[in-house]
Amino acid sequence: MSFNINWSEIGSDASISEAVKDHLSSYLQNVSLPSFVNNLKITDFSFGAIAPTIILKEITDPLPDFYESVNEGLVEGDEGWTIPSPSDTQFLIEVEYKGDLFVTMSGELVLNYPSQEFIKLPIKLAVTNIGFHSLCLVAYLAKQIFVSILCDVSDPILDEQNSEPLLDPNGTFMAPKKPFERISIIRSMNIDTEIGQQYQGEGSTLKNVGKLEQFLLEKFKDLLRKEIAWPSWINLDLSGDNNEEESIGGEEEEGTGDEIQSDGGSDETSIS
Amino acid sequence: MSFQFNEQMFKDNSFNDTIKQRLTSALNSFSKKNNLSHESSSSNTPSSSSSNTSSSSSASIPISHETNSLSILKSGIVVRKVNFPTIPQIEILDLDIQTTQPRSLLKGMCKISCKDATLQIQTIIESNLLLLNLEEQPVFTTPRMINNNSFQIPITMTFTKIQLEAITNIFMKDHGVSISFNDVSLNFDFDCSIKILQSTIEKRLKNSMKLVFEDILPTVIFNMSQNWFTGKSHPPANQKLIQPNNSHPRMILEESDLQELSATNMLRLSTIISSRHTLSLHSTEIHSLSTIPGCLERQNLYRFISKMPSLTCFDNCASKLQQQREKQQEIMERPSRRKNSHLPSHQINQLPQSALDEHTYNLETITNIQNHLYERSKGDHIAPRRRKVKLNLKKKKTNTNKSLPESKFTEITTQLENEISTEARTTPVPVSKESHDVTPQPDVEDDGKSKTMVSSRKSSNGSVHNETRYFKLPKRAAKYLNNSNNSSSNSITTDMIKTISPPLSPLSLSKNYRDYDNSKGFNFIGLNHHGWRWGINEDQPPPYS
Repeated sequence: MSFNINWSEIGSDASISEAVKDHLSSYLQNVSLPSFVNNLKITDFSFGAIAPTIILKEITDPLPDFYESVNEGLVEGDEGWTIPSPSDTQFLIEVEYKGDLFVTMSGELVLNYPSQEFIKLPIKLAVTNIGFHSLCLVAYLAKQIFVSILCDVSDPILDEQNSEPLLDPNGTFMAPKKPFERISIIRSMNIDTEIGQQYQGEGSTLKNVGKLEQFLLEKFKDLLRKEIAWPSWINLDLSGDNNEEESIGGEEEEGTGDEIQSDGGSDETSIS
Repeated sequence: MSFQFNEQMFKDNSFNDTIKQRLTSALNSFSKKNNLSHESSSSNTPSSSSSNTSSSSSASIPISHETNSLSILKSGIVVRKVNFPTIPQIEILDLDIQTTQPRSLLKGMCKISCKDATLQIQTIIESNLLLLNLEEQPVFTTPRMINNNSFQIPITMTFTKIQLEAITNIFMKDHGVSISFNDVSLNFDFDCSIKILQSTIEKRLKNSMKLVFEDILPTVIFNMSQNWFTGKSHPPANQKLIQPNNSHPRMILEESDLQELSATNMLRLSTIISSRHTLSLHSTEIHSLSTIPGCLERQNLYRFISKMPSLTCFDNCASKLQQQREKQQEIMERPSRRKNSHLPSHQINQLPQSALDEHTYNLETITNIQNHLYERSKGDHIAPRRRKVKLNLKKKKTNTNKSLPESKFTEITTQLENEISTEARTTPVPVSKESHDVTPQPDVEDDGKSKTMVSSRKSSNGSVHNETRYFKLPKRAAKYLNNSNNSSSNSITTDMIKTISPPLSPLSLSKNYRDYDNSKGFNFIGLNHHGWRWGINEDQPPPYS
């Protein structure tokens, strides 16, 4: 059962792109960045014209791993112990996207010694040509939604892009490097970088540093693999009370992976 | 220029004052420590990024007493003027990142240029070269002195039109930044209040500047960066207070190296090695992949890899044969074009599209394979990261208060979601009639209308949550989720489940997979070495290409 997504409706409506851009930008401004990064914002965002293909494969009961994680630390019979109920459900979804979504971000690296913002280095990133084709699990139980990306699906088009790195100098170098790399998630992505800024027409800026793009890609892939690829998942807790302070959070969107500090384990975090 | 300096700071003289203070304190603490006369190599650094060579921060005007009377300097050194009319420029010429573990290395090449800077320093020197230090001299060796007064004269040195151009290589490693300067060209006009000394000082200065850029600056910057990164005080290399014989043994392995070594692997390797120190004939057992449980010998590695559970096990035989044929053709056509990064297809862990379309996969098998691969790659101690995010999607009107960025954020979120949900509601999404190899369900297709999934859900305490999603399911599925207690709908759901995912028996590969239970042998990946027989399973020769 596949979904027809009316992507062109979203893509052609400029106000939605603007809204998403502003939303992401303000999120980036509010999230706590390391001290040497300044002024990270999204300069451009477009949904593109091609929609992702979403096909629902199965509706089943949630995997026991989810129940184990909900019942962690509790003993049977305790308050909060969850038993499988008939209304718990799990969807196995095949998601494929080979579209022309693009995002451009800009930021600055700063040196705050000997005084604030002594030296600034402006950086621009443009991300295009994102491709992925994976199986996802979305499970609902105990007022929580679990989202995890299970595995990649072989896709001749996406893999073809990576099989001829010699002929294609702009190739994305996304082929898995280690044997039995569990999952790649992102199968193709182009990042264009521009470092530095011209001053009155002089000076050089570095464009399209291949190594930097590879580095960023690897970091991003590692980040996704760590955060959302099975056996990790993202747990959206819907059981908020009316009286509690709202704490809104979400995954970090395409930030450069090396900037994000990692905290350990599977504890509850609310990112603000 | 690639880097941007803070222009504001250069334009209003605050920066100059700061530099003045710091330079003054740096010069004076230096001159008090080392009893060298007029070592001005540290005073003449016009490049702004390296102008602060010392990390001492207290700025105090020096008093004219001098601890050591051998020094030619009779008072401290005072910096009178500092100015950078032109903002220095740093341009990036090249950037290289090496991501090979364990040490990721960043290499950069920059061009630094600085023009028209000025610097003026002032001090007092002793100009009676015949002055004798009679404090510690016994009286019987002292001649009759007529005059032994000191003659102190002030001296002012002005450096103008300082021009610096250099090409630097920057290396950034885990715990340090090292900069090396090549092609340094430094020019300045020097003016001294004592004209006799002018040419001498200028020559000596220019010679010692070479030393500064080659040796002193890189060392200092490296030490400073280590301090920053590690936060520990690291004794500089040129301090004479360090005892030359350190009792600490030298570490050959770095900490990052140790993280790469797995303790279990080391144990297994040592078992293999010690197993060879024996005259027993046990190792010639022919029916086992390895005689030692848990240890695999290198020559059997290819067999191990081909038996390793990966998602390619869902290939059915027909496509596998075709793949083999295609691969052979490929090898014949392009004999030597394999790049190192291109893995043979059986080692790429992807679920074949055909298996997905024909429903020959098994969800539990997939999760088990992924779990095994995860355990294998992550080592023993890293738990999977499971982020819990509290979402509250109620439409709550918060006052936009700038002092609370969170609430503003909330409003933007709810606004955005309202926008998207209104957009979504106006565009009905028909369910596609093409379902893969599944008997079409007339119930599902008749629903022209579509509804948001779980449009309203009764929770246990009776309150209703309005939740919106980005994609929708047919009405039947929504009903199923709503009516949890309705027994009639349960039978519908079971029917639905049966038709969507018909119970197919997995292919013969599952028989192989059942052999991979957690016996003592290959516990870490689930291969059962007792189930393996020499010659019976298809052995492929090791890949020679």
